Amino acid sequence: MFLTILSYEFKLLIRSKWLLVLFFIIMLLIAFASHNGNKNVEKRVSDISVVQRDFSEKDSVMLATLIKIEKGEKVDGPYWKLPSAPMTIGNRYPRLAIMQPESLSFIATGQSDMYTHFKSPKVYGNNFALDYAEMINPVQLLFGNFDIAFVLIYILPLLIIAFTYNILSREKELGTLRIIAAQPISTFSWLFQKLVIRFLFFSAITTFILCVTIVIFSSEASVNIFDLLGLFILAISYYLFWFVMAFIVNIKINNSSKNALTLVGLWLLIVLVIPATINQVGNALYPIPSRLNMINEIRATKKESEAKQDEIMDTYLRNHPELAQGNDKKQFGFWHSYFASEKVMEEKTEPLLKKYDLQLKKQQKFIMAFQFTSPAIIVQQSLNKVAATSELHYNDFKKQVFEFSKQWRNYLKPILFRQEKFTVKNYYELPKFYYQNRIKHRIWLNVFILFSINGIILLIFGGKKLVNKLPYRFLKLFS
Amino acid sequence: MLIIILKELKELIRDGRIKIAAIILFILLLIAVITSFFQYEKSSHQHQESTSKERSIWESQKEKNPHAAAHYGTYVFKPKFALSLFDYGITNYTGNSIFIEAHKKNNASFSEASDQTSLARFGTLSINFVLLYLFPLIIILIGYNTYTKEIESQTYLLLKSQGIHPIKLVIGKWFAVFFPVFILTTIVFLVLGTILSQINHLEFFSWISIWTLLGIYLLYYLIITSLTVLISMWSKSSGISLVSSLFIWISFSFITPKIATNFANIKNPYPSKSAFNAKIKRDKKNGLDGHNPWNEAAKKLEIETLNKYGVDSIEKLPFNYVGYRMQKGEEHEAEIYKKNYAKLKQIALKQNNSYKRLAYLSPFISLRFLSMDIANSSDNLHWKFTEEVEKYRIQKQKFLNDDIKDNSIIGERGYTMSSEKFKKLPKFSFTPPPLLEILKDNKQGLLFLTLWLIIPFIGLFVSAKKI
Repeated sequence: MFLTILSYEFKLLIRSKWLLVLFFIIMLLIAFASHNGNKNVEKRVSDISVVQRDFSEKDSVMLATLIKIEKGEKVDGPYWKLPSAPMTIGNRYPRLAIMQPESLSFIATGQSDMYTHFKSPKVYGNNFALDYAEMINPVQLLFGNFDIAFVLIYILPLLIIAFTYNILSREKELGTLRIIAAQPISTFSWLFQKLVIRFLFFSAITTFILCVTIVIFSSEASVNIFDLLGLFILAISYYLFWFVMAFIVNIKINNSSKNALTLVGLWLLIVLVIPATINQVGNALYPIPSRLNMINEIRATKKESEAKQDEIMDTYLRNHPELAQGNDKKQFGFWHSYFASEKVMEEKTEPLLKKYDLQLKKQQKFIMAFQFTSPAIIVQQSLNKVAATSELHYNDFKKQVFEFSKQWRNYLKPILFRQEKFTVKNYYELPKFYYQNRIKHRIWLNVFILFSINGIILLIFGGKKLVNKLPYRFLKLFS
Repeated sequence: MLIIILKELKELIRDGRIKIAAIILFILLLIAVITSFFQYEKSSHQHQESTSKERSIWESQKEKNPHAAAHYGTYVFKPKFALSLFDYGITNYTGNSIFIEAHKKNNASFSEASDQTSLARFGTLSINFVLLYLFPLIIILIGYNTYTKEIESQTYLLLKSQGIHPIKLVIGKWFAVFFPVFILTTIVFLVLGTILSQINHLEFFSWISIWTLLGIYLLYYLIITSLTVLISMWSKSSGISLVSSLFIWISFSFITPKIATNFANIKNPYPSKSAFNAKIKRDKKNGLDGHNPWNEAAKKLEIETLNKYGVDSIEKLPFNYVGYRMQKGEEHEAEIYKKNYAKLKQIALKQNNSYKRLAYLSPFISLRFLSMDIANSSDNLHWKFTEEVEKYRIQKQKFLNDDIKDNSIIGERGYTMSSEKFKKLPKFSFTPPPLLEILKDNKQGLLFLTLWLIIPFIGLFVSAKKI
């Protein structure tokens, strides 16, 4: 019977041109979205290559000057601009910390439009207060991007709704339901099989188009077959959710316009109302702590430290005798005092930063705890993680830059305190930044969660009938 | 016609779906109002606290060199506007404070969005979120079957046989679809105005802005009403009518604005922050550096100043030349910033025009821009704010540099300004543009909304006669 329904459904969909329309709409949507995503990635890569080029040019001039100085040749410019001074390197020739896009970054813009993808932390300044915001027209952030994530999360469910909302009710409205009911199959199984067939067609079409798109736009993506497979199955489990919803609504309501209304109401709830409400309630219950208050407090601490400069320097040298050895304290200048007070600053501001982070994490924890209330949120979070454009990735990038800046300062500091010159040898020894994607996307876990949600919903609404009839139907499937 | 309106409204009241939808809307609005109110109170308090704290940090400085104070800098804050409680606009995506210091124009930093999770990109349940996205759906829900139900229940022929004029029928149905939303929206704005007028320390609140917003939202709802009734008239069944109306709604509110984002980006890309800063650095390189007396522009200024005052050395000038040069350097750098930011603003305006032009595909875009402009939460206002801050920065630098120029002598080391004088620096203040100016800036949007209102309305009359 299943094969009969399959061949009938296939003929029906082909003749009504549904499959063709569906194929072209999905292809158009995904192609346009991929093109946009790809443009965003291209801009990111081009911005990075411009800074890289500038960085290399600046570095090669600096290296040439260093070679000249070591050879004893005359060099133009004031002494404080010469690269032989370690702090000139630290402040005028900072290293470049880059976050390159991943192979699947084009599928979800995520937070990538808000943040910069390169940073050059200098020895001077508060690294924790570095601003990672990218220059962007805020109107664009408000309206968002037309990327693959948008198509998958927002539009495809609507296509599914349009594709499924009246399967049973149409038969009722056309008066053909009686003929179906007279067939040797229950209406329940008939609808279930019909939806399974449509689900298979829909999944096959979207997966095929997604596959082709990924091959065109990101040949490297195919390297990680396992992640890619996870991505396809995640999308399929999300479509399944909407097919399950359509199945239940078809059974329970069975009136075309009421079906459409209920399904759209669900869509609204899942992709719009639940996320927006969680967001708003999260913001109200755990408001984002004021960065301004934090900065005010840090500035006040700084002011206090400046007043006790000499005292701070003495303590610092007592704690770091290796830096004081063989040097006359009187020769110590601005940079020495700066590093000494920076340490004090760091210690004093640490609790402030921790308090701030804790407040922030409370809000994020609250919001993330509710992500399972909407499959749309689960899919959005997963796509952002696979694309390496989630807030976790950017927070980790900040962390890595912070760690690197410490490493970089610690390399230059001893040279400063030993009152040595920065040399060509030092240049080649300078620490380099390599971004590592340390965030686990856990896509398979989310696939499992989505399938479980689908299973639970099916069991709740159609459990009895499914349990009673399906094993029998499946056994008889190909008979 | 009155009979038609009353009959339609009676049917609506009896319809369970409308009741459920109205209850859901009421709950969502209640959540939005309560949370927005608390958030507003909190951030308004934070704003006041930060402003006074920052001012006291500035005023409590011990005597120090004015230029050292200029580098120490201070923060200025964007005022919390009353209607931002209603429409957050782009506020979450731009910072609300700007650090002002010597030689450098900074952007607003630390936007709330950068601290939030990516869930925030789904949107936030503010009052205008309900009005922008959900109220049009209520219209669709009420009106999708206004004609199809007559055809499906075969009452249309009956109606016709009664000799009803098709224009009267269409106006009656159209009015009955619009009326409930008209009442609901008016109540929302009345409640909003009443709540706002109860808040202490409210800045820039005006009832006229509230009524204007109400008018604009109603205009949009009129458009949606006409389209819904028109689609219902053209559709063969309620299902098709509903799906078509929903397609219009999603393409208005989501698809077109997002497509506009990509068009705007491709046509007028924004420079990256580093490229923009590098450009400013290059421009500054050959200009007047207030700190460097040996640079070419500084030498030129020295000669010009000496000639102007008819003396042969800077020591003989009636003021301290160092302060004068510092101020000239500051003004020169400010010009560079002005030029570069003007270019950036042009890109932003062109990008916004890409959106606004697509308003012929979606009246939602015009409504969105108008709403945040009137609520003082738009990028337009943000640009005005940053420009005012820059003016204040230059004024502040002049205040400090003039002190060096007028009260110290050239070559004097360790000159300090008295701590009392820090208090004399004028405070920053910012007033948003008047409503009329905002409406003038949005002429195009208003025109699009009017066209969107007229064309489907004419369509209603034309189609009514044909069916």
